[in-house]
Amino acid sequence: MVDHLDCRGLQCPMPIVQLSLRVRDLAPGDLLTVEATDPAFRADISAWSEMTGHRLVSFEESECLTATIEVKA
Amino acid sequence: MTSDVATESRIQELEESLAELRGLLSELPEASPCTTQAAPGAPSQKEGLSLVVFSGDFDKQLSAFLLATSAAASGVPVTMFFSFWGTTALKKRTRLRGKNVLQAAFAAMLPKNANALRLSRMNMCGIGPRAMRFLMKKKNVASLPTLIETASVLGVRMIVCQMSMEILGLEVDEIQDGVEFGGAATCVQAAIKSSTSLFI
Repeated sequence: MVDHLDCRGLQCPMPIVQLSLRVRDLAPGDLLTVEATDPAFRADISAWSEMTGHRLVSFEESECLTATIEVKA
Repeated sequence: MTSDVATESRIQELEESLAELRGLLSELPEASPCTTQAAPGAPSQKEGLSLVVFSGDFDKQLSAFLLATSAAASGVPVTMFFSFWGTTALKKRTRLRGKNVLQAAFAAMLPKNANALRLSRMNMCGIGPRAMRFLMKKKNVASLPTLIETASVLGVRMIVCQMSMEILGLEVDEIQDGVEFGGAATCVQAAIKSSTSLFI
């Protein structure tokens, strides 16, 4: 399943909090795309991914920061 | 001749159970308890964050809850121990009735809830925190009550020091629900079990 989470406008640490709450409802292997405008999200998403073990599949910067996470097994 | 037939049927039986076992083996998840080598990114044996929240200042409480919610959202077990002025952030109301004069005086002077805390600097008779809350709202930064609630949702363990409550004349019914009550030993136990301890 591919899910989407809009965290635009939220400030630190809420994008990470919302992301972790959403991941709880997903199954292993599911993909979750997160959009955020919080500048700290750039650094925080890779730190979060390393701590939790959920893989950071892609990270893009355009109008906002977009990260895709693969839920770990 | 009879023994040959018996041996053959025994071999057949063994082959069947072998096939069955192989089937079961393939169904086992990869991360079975037999996996000795830790996967990269796996937490070390001693993990967790423990915070001693001593300060009742708005900015320091905000820092404590920002750290606690971030850690909990990253899968780190978090324990927060609230002592002295720190307990006031978890107040839900102020009760004067049933307290002696000194305790009632303390109760009347302490902040009534998380929204009434002072800033550690530039408090300016309450203008500072009011301005900061206004800016936080404008910039869509989570408020302290929201962060406290988020911490609770994320499973942050919050322990309120009972001795501090005794001194400040705080009763259990004045503290918000979903927290634990304990003493210094509970705090130390949480600290030695975690890899990081901070005093705020």
